[in-house]
Amino acid sequence: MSTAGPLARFQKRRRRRKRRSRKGDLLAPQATASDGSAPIAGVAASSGGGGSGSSGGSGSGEEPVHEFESQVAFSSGQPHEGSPETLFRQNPDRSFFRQFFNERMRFSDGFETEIWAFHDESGAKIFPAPTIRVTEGEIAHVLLKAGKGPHTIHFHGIEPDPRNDGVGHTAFEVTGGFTYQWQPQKGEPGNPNQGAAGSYFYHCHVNTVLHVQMGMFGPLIVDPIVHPAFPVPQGGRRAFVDGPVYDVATEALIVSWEVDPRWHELNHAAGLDGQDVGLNRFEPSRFYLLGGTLNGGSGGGATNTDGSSGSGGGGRVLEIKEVRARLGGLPTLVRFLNGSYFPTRAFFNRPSSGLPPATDGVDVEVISHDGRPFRHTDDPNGPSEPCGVDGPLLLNRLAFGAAERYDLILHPKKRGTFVAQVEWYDWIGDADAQVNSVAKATREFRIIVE
Amino acid sequence: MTRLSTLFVFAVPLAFGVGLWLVVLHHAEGGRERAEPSLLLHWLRDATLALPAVVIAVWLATLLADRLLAAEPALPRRWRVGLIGALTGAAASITLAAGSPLHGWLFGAQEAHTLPLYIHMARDALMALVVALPLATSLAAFLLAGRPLRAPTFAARADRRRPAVEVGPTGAVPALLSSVATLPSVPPEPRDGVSGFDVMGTLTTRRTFLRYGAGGLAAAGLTGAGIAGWSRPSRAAVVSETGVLELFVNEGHVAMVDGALVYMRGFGERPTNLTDPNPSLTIEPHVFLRPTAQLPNGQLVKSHFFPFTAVPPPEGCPTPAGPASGTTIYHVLRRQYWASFFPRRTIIAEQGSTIRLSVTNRLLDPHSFVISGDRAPGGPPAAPIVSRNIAPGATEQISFTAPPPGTYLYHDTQNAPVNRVLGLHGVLIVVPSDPWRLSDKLGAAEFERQWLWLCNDIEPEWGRLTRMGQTVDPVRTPALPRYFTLNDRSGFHSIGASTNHEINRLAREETKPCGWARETDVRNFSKSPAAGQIVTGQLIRAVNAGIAIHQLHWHGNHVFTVRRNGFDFSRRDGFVDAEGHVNIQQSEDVLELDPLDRKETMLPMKPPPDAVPVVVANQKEEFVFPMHCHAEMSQTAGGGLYPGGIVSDWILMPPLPR
Repeated sequence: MSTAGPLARFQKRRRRRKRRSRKGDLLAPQATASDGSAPIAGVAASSGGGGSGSSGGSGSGEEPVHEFESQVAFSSGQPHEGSPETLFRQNPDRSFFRQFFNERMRFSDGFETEIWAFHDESGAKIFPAPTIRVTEGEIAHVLLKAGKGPHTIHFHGIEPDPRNDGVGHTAFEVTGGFTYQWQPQKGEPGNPNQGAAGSYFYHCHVNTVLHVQMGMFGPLIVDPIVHPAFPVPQGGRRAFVDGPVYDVATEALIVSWEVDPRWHELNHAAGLDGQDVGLNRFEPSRFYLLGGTLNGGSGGGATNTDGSSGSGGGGRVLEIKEVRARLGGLPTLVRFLNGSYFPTRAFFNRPSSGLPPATDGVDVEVISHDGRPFRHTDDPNGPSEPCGVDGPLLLNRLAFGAAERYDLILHPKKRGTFVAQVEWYDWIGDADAQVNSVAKATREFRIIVE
Repeated sequence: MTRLSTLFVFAVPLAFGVGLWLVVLHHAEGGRERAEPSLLLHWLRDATLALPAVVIAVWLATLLADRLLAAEPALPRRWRVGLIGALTGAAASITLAAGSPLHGWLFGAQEAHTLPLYIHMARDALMALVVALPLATSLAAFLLAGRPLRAPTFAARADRRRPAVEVGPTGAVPALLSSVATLPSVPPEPRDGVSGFDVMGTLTTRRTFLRYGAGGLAAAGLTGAGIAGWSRPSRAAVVSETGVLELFVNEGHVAMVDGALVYMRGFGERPTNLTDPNPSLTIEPHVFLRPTAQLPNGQLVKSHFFPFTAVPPPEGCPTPAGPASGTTIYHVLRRQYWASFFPRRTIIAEQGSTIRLSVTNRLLDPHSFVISGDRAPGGPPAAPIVSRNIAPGATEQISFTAPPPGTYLYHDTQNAPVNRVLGLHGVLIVVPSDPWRLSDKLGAAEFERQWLWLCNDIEPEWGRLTRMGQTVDPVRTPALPRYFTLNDRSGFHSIGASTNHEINRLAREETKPCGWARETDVRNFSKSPAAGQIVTGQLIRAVNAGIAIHQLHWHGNHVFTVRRNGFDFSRRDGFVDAEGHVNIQQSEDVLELDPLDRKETMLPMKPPPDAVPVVVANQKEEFVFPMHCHAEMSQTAGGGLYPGGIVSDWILMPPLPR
């Protein structure tokens, strides 16, 4: 097979490396000396000099190092590759382009800050980054152009092999360009072990604590294949292969996110050299609901928004102010993502701003979590039906912590404008309670039933 | 194959020759066994049993010889033969001598003398050399006659990438031990101060074995004191017939991953003072055994792994029973076969056992020992299972029956959460009668092996104020944790990427899930394709003793969460509780872990589902996937150093050949 070459070479390199580290086991004192690099701060003590420090690429062909003298050597010595090959490269069904950019952006409340994000081939600078949307079974290619410093893309919740997973210490960081390749697994009705349809996000995994807070993330949605037993009506789509049908036109995304302005003054590799830059101290003062109506775009286009958005410096922040639903039509799917580091909770049964609560106008059903449907799994051999089959799993509040996704279906009951809130809590719990009682911030969005 | 056969030509005469010499020697000095066979059978049995270990030792010796000879190309032929003979002879001698305690445990041997174990082993090794050296040198001269004079090389290169199945001692010796140790739950009596489990623990991992094996060889060659390499602390030993576990509330300074020293407290296993450079703030894992006819009060055993009668997985990574038929990537696993390693701070109790503790407060302020009760979804915690205050200087005797099978947090609730976060905490795991299940309930999750992940957040300012004699008010001094630990390790220590191989070994054994791809079905974790086989995942018990809300995120696989705070999630008819959490068994890639939370979740260990299939089909190397907390501040150490906090890896091994 012609594609076997590069992987075989890569694996050979890794085996060589391992042999070295095994020798290290047998004759430990010699291991570092024979490899020739002194264990000085910032440089990994092994061959290849993989510790290229904080300031960017050192060309392709370098091998990741396996053992480190210190946490500093490890943090600042992540393997960098320039523009490595995509092994076993296939013809893609969907191709995406994402390039790093930084831009000062203004939010709807007038607040401005430095944002790092990804733009697509159009070059349009929006935040969050443009949606990646594919259908189960499609081979997706995402070409990352890193920019000045090393970056990666980790497709959070999508589970490819390590090279396509976008993590430095288990693969490499990208300083030039790299095409990530993956293929979301096809679902099968009644099978709880298969299927990738659902809500995800993608983000940079380099100095992640900083880079995600700087804004380097975007939504990722996987649509299900259409199974003959589960046809889809006009204007509708299923949330997963045997899942409920929703209204394509009103599908919405809500991302909770907050800003600690101090962090947005830090540099790319802040803290990797061991300097205390306070990245354990997260004190956000601005809280936003990002997102918008997805408008059924399935070709990887930008997230559209019908909410008001700030603009400034050539970039555009997508904030969501309202979700629409249609009485008598198909129900509305709302995808919640916590893009922040604090736990958040959505409330649907509280009136505010003079508006009645969401639960007056809609029933709120939760159908899946982290790209996996809630299913009955009590029959060890029989089909595993979605929980909603026996009646919807209704809620009036939803707890969703950092990086979690929940998919909710709004079933409209009557026309009108209703309100729901999202609350943020500190990531440090109350003195001795398991849960926080005092919210840091509250933001609301309207649900308009037409 | 010819090389392998050459290895055997070396090893077989050495094992049987030196073995005969040692058996005769022991017999002559009056050593006896329970039900001792005839001298001939005794010799053949011992030498045969020792053969695999001798093969390994000879192999290692040849590797070492290879290196040495390569460095000295000008060495005369007779010296080369001599070196190979000396090294292989010494290796065989040490191996056979080191087999003494194993031999004693297996066959109930009683020596005619009362020499301490190590002296005994050293003496045997020296005596063995008398026969081994001339024999090995002759063999070397014979084998190498007419060949280029390098040591034969036996490196099984093709198999190196599958360490866990390749080397005899890791699989074979523990397996042998386990098949002989047929008394479930009751460990054999300790002999010479070292139980069989100690030997088993010592031989547990390939790396350990190689390290000590090679260390022993080198030392033997230089000083004749090679057995020093075996003097490691016991990993499993009956510590007390009375069955009382002593805990001491101690204080001291602990080095963080960046080298900073932080004042901490903890339930230690021996009294130590603040100035102690190595304060005892945690305990080795201990197991309370249920009563039996022979031991009506149960028993307390110190062990790094459990169950004792099961096989400790090499490097923590259980090898499969074999490839699954009809597939190229899946495997079937050994059922109820592998032991699990546990980190420090773990107390294991068999269901039905009585947990007896003696807790001494060696500090100047009051402390307590509390085991939290279960907590219904969205509700307040139930009354604690145990709650006892301990005055300064006092010792409390605490005795209670093991609560239902599950994962529990023991901690000090005085001035909560300060003392807990300063380190006064640990985990109690109660195991049901089938220790490969979460509980005795019908359909309770069954696993290949299990892991305990204990998270903590370290607040140096709280430590500093406490050290100065102040009582920290968590409201006036809000927590700003600066280090984040998983099983008391952070960052590169936690993922085992350190040049300190002891830390790496512990990380692999205790923290980093590892296994071969299988077709786990979340509907049924007890699928058994054949007797002794199973298809299931590895269970992770995640516990948060800290103050931050952690969000454990797995790459590579979604996990399947089955329980929270002792409340079994249903497989049907889920509900959303008052906090807004969905309560049903579910797949997720982020596990929310609130302070004091205990959750059990199954890592299915499937091949990465969204990889392009041709990549999975061509997997030749370990696939390594990270697990990290997504409340990303927990990924820092000392204010930076990403990824330096709560992080681990899990490993999917390349498929076995079909």
